[in-house]
Amino acid sequence: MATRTQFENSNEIGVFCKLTNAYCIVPIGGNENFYSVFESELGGHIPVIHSSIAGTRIVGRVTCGNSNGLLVPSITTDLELQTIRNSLPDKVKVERIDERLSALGNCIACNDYVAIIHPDLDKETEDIVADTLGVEVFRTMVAGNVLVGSYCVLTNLGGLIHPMIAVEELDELSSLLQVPLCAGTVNRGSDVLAAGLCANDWSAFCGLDTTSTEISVIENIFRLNEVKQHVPAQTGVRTDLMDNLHR
Amino acid sequence: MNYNFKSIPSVPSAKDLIDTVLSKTQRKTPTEIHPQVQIARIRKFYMRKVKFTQSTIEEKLGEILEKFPKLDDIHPFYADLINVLYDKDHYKLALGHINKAKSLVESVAKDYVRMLKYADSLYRGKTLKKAALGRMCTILKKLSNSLNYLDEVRKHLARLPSIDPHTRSIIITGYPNVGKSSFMNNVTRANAEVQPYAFTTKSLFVGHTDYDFIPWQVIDTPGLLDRPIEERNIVEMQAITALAHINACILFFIDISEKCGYTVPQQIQLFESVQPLFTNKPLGIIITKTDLKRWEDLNPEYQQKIQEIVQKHNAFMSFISNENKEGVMECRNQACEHLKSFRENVKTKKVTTYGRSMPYVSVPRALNPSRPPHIPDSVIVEAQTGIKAREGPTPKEMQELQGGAGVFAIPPQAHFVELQDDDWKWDVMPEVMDGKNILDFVDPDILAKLEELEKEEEIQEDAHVPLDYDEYRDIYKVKRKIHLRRKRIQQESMMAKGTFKPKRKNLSEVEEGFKELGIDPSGLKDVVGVKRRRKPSPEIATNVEDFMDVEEGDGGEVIKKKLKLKNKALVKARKPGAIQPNPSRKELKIIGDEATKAFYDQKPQHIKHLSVGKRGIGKTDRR
Repeated sequence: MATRTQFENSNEIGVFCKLTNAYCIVPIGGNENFYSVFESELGGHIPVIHSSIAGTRIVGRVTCGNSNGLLVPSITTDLELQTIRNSLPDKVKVERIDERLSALGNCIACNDYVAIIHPDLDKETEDIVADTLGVEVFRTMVAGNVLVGSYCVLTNLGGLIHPMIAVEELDELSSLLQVPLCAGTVNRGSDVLAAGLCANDWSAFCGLDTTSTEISVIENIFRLNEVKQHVPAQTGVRTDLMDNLHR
Repeated sequence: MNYNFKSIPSVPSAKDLIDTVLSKTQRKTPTEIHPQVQIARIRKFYMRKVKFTQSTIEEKLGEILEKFPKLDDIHPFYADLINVLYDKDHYKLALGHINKAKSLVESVAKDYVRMLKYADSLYRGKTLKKAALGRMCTILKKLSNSLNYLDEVRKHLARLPSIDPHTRSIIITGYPNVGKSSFMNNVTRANAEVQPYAFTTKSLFVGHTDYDFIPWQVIDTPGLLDRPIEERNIVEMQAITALAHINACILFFIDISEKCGYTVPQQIQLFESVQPLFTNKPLGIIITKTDLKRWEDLNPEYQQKIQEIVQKHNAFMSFISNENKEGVMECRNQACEHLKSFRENVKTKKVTTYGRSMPYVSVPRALNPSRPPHIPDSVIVEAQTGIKAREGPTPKEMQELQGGAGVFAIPPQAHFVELQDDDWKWDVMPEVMDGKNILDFVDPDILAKLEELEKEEEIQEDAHVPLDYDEYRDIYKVKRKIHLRRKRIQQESMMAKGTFKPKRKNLSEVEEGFKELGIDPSGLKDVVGVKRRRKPSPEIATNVEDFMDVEEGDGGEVIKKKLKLKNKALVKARKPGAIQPNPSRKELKIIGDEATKAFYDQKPQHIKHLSVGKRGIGKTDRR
């Protein structure tokens, strides 16, 4: 189920948290309300940790990660890096990237198997992404935007893309990423999806302004209501999926 | 959008237009100019006339263009109706013609204004103006036909019934003379003409009836004949336009008495040929003139055919007689009900499909089986059993219990997992030590290295035997001897060369040397004399003595006396010859030769007017 929440009166919750299948990072703040929402949904399953990045709270926009690893920008302080390393399970590799485009979350969108990245990222960064996160990497744009990380949200089960994407581009991307994709919005029509939404394979959090129509799209494309019927190693048959999605 | 074409203003004929424009120019621009005035003014005068004429024409033509409906913008029903009545191409051509004239006038004005800039006399200017207005009027004259046509169109449009294509409407159709207009007269107050010959109704008529407290629009159409659409005349085409474009309940009239001049099979045939226009609209088959022939008297074959049609198109059937008004109201009510439920259905359907619809989902052709989702087992267990994996109070509750926001904070260490040694969790580690960032020196193998170092140290310690104090002292003595010996040899050689300069020594050093040599140094002091020392000043000495005396007193007495003494000391200090205060800066400056004496802090008196802030009017250059 998708949960509506807010970070200190802001609907852009994706800016302030990083959610993956193996961990969740929320910023250090004066109030535990935001953290509490994540902890009550995810606690007991994956670690939900507090950390700042370079002293800022916009952890979701400057980091990028999946269940294999986490990439933090060069501006991250030593102490923050140490805290994150200590707090995450050992199987998650944490890497600090020396990249000019330090808002890694805006430049990289990934799930556990594949990532699309900003066309201007360094070659070295591309290699590090591939190695650390264990993904196939593609340089691409989304609906004419280079900030692929801002305009799409991916999980292993589906992806939500910028609403102005052309159908052909959507088809192309979905065959590239090998997950079902659909165009959508959050927060009552906001196209900056990754700012308003964060999702993993079984849960999603979105801004408080998100309408029920948007929520229903989110729940369908990320298949959040199917966790109950989930059988490990289930992959889904196309026809079954089509049936579910095209109601 | 409002479809009231009555508001279109009348279109003047070309002649009238020219007259209006020219007289307006005459009235609204200056009329008098003399050859003596500046040429620039003359030019301006004529330019103004040309420009004014141009703008007036543009305004007039623009109004026509704006007020006439644009076929692409209005409802398709009206667009088609205009096409049928006035021919779309002709209509567009006329408007295009006017538009073209507008731009022509503009370019003429532009040309002549440009020429007028070079007019060198009044006469030249006047001629140019005349030519410009003449050419503009010629252009307008050529518009004559289009303007006349548009005025005709305007007159006809104004007479069209105002049909709202979006509202609830009922359209009546059927062969001529089957009783359509009579029915409309019965249900509305339209008062359409009814005559016993075909095509009495030559255009669309509109009436309004009230049912269920809301108005319903009833549209009467001219009769239709059963023939292909190319052969239909303008009158029939109006009916077709209404049927095609207005979402209404359609009532198809069938005269079973055949008094209209068409047999029942003919009428059924007509229905079949026009029924494509009725798809997705509520439909009623109305059997009329039941006073002349009752339904039961109709040939059963026809009866069955009509029934079949009703079944097939999900229509309702009604029997009316306009003559004795039998069944008329029932028929209207049935039609209204049908339409109402149909419209409701459409609306609710729209809402539900909107709510449930999913945007286009692009699904890859083959999902990769080697890419399963990563969902922890605990999540699945929780989803299936409904038992939360997480226990205890939420962080928010904890926060409320432990001092609220801003006071309560979860230390980062609380999140630490999988440390090699759990005791390390709460270790305090400085960020910077001895000016060095500790994390720059972190070594993952530090423990192994430390162990190695410790082992090495141990081995060394085993091999090493420490010296005792006596041994150290002996070694020191020998060292000292060697040192002194070397020094002496050095000095002796220097003395031999005559370069030896003995270092000047103070008394204590000499005494030390004497002692070393075993000579008593006590007499030395008298020989050399005591060390010079500053004599204590007499006042200070007495003060000190006084102070010492008072020290022995007690309490407030002591303080009072102390103060007294201090004052006394100050008074003494002020006396000439006592402690001299340092001379001030001013005094320092005055001290010196009279010739070189400078008045640093005094302004020169003899040029006072230069240094004082008063100044007269306009004397700002110096002060």
